[in-house]
Amino acid sequence: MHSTLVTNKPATDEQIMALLRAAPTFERGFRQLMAQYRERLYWHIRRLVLVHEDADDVLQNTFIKIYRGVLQFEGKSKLYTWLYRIATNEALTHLQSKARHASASLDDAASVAAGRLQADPWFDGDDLQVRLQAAIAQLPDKQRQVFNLRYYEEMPYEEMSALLDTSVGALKASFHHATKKIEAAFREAE
Amino acid sequence: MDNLDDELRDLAPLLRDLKRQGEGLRTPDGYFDDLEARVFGRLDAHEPQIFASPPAHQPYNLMGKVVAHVSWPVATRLVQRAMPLRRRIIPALTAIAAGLALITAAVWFFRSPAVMQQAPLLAQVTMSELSEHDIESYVLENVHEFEAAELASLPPVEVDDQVAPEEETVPKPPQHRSKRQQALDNLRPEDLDNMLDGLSDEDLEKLL
Repeated sequence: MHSTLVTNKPATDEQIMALLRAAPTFERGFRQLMAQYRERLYWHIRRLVLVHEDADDVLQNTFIKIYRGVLQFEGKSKLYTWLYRIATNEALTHLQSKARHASASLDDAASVAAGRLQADPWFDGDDLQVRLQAAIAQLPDKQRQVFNLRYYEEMPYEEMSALLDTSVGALKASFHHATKKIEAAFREAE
Repeated sequence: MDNLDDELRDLAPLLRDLKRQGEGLRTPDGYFDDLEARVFGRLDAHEPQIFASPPAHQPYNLMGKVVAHVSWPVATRLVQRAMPLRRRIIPALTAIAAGLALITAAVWFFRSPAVMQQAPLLAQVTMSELSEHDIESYVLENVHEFEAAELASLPPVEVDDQVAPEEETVPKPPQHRSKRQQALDNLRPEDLDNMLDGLSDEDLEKLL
């Protein structure tokens, strides 16, 4: 039986884990977790895989992995940090699978996704947006994550440092480098 | 430099303008509303052994049914109160059940003169055959037969809290950072530009 979930107020990570750790409330806790983090995880995944259909598939796989493994979460980091890493791994695995299917190199995995973007019915950006996504797709995996977190989610560097387990200085350097590369790619195209 | 708009104004004005136009990515109407149903549909199809509800006779299912229809703060408090309560009462009820089982066994064996001499041994055998689960199930299914006053008079049982203390949820910064990374934290924006000029993608990835 799928019960109705009350989601009018966000729960803390501790409250969600308390529900998850008791057998009779596990499902309730998992639904609360999904309701709380689904959009944030979706957009993180979407900005990596770009196409909505792929993002939907990856997101569902992510939640299934979370369902199977959430009781192994020890609470040494924030819950979102753990969820984010699962989502990232699933998205990158998906990109690599698509690249292999398209006989492209693994380095071109994100570029393959960018190439499919214009055909995505859930993309209504203009040519500039397409070129931006193609330029972002050229970045190395970690740098692309840093760029997306800073540029689209406007995440503070301190929070990003905890999420990615990387120093603030290195993250700033990475973002600065990424922005310069992307702007250079735009100038070349003009 | 935590304001992204200010950061991009100095660093990448084109990207700042593009950001204001939006990213062009959207979702179908109601996508997030039925996501939960689709995830559980896949779980139902592929992992029935995980998703199956506990059997009806188990006492936990009653709690599950109750908390499914209350708000999550109440659900959390119910769980948090029920678990320690269970840990305190069950050992005491286990002791009562063990005593009752012993008495029952003794009465039964004393009916037969032939086994009177063996009664203590058989009682011990009977006791040793009783698992904690058996005792717990017996007590919970017949809890109405115990006098309330009897239960209330039980001394408090020290609970060995098996729940690990709340761990640090905010990760600590890396303990061992290279001098290079420490120097990076103190870099000014103009110094960053100079440094980045000579940095390849490979070098940057290693740094990260």
